[in-house]
Amino acid sequence: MFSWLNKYRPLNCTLSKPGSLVYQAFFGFWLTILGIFLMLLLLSQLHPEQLESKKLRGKMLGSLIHIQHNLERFVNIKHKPIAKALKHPRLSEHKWLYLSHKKIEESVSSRPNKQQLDLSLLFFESPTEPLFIVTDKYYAYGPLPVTLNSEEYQLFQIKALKAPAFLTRIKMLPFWLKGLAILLPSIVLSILFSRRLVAPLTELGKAAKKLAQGKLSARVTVPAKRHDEIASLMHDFNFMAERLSSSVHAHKQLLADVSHELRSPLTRLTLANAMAQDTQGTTQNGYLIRIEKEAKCLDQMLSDVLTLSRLEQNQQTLQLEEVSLDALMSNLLNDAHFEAEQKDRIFNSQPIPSVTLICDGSLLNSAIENVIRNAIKYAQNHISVSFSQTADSLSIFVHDDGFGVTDEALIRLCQPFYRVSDSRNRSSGGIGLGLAITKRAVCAHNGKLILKHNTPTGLAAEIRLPL
Amino acid sequence: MSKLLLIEDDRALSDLLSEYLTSQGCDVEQAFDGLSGLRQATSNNYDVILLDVMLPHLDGFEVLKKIRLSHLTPIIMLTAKGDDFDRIFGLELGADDYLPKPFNHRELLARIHAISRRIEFVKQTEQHDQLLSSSHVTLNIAARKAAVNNHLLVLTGTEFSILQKLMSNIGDVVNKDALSQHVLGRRLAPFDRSIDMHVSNLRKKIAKYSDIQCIQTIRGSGYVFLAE
Repeated sequence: MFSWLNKYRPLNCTLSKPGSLVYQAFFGFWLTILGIFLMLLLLSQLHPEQLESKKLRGKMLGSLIHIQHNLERFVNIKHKPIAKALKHPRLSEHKWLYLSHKKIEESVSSRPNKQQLDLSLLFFESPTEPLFIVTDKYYAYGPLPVTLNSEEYQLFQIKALKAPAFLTRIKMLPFWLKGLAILLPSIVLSILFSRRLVAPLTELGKAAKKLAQGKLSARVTVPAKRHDEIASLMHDFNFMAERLSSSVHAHKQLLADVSHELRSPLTRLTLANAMAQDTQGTTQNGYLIRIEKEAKCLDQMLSDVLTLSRLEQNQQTLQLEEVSLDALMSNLLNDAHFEAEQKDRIFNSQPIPSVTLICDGSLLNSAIENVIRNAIKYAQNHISVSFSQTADSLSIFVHDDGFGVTDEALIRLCQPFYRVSDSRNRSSGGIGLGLAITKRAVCAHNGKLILKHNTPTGLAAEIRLPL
Repeated sequence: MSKLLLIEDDRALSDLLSEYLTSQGCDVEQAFDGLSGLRQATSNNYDVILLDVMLPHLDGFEVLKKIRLSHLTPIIMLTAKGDDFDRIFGLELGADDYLPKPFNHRELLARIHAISRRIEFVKQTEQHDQLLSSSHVTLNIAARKAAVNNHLLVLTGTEFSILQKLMSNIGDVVNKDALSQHVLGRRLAPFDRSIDMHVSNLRKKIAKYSDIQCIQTIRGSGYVFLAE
């Protein structure tokens, strides 16, 4: 009937499992309460002198004074015998009253002392304010001085103890001490309890962050003694990280293999083609040259895909070195100038500022090259490269006056294999990886690639690098 | 006519390559795995060895290391393109040059020629007993031997050529591009570390017997062998 319940119950943690969070929470709270109680008990043992008496106040004192007046009226005015007056229902009702006299044998009690309580304590030589007195066996409220038949008595009300003495002692503790006894263990135990819950979660969080940053070796250490839901979560996390890292590793291996396996036939193709070109007559050469061109294109695509996948996996270890911007860009700008001239475009470039960057030269070089090549590819008339420098960053601007792209395309331009179908079609070459590589390469240098619309038309790219 | 050893596990490529190189006047022997390649390389004398990185049984780097224990034959590594690490590692282990796959056949031939030309050049000048020397480094060009404070250095052909070029221009800066042209027979691509790697290997070898660092780097320009 409840079989559907089983569906929703996690496989490896049922309620009955000892050490589960449910039990931990239960024991945590329970221990806290127990701790408070023990603390109170301990304190009450430590302060015996404070326990013995406490000033009597309020209702209890009122009732005692009422008894005192009635007793004096019954005995002194109505001349009733003391013992009888004491047992008068209006006085004693269910109470145990005790009139203590200097001589113990003259003392009168409203009830027989069945429990053999030691009542001899209840006499004060000097005048004393009414007190709440606690002994091991009974409480006493009093004394209230009473003069009966010209004899001095001290009136007490007695309650034999039914509850255990320690409860009374706790009751007798001063207020601040009770507060302390409650606060201290509850705070300490709550901290311990919550730390036990939170500490492993914090560790899990840290490991998860590391994993997200690409450190696939991040694992949590599961305490050997832990067997609750958190421990199983930690095990699951480790399992997940293991699977993730092995699949990323497999992916990497696959890419390396694919690149190697694809390169071998490509190498053979290139070589065979070259030998054919050397031996064939000129009539066939047009096709052979075409084959060579396509093979080159294939090779470029292969290395782009590899570069991109390395960058995406953070596997590209940057080979940082000091490179002057001039060394990085002068050849590039010369080539671009030449290339633009070939296509009857005007290429303008500001002088390269003398800045030194700490970067992976060849990676950054190809990143900038991609942007400039793109600009040349799509420009109608003008391409311009300019620089601007602030205290902590360098910006390289590349503007073209091509047809530009739509707003939507602008956002997606850096996605791998994204092509704007209308203006940037296959005949323009490339497979849509250039900007994706640029973006990731610039990001790997903690920089930014910002793409905007150029005015009136075209694309304005900014590569901003930290200095 | 150069005598070549081609260590490459891709038989089809190996056959194509050797056919092409033979047609260009080279004498090519083939090996298809690391172990047999190593055996051939150490038992025969070759002018140049072409060594693939990914090989069964014993990978290219291991073969390179083992050949270098006993032989200074010029070695060109064939690497996968984009693996900068492979290139630098190969050069560090004593390879003379590298060529990323897929390569241009003419470039391969040019590199082989550049490296074997050096050897030809040496053979031609063998008659003249030419010596280059500074206060503690002596170069016997004919015998292709270098000594530091009378300790014989074991240098690869490329290292020897670099030292020779620097020492024949003592006190003058030789820029990296000129060094590359002279030693590797090619222009240095931007961010190509080949020459730096060879110079670094050379320095390490000299430093074994001398406290004086005689080869200085001139930032952004090249290297200079100090007069004193």
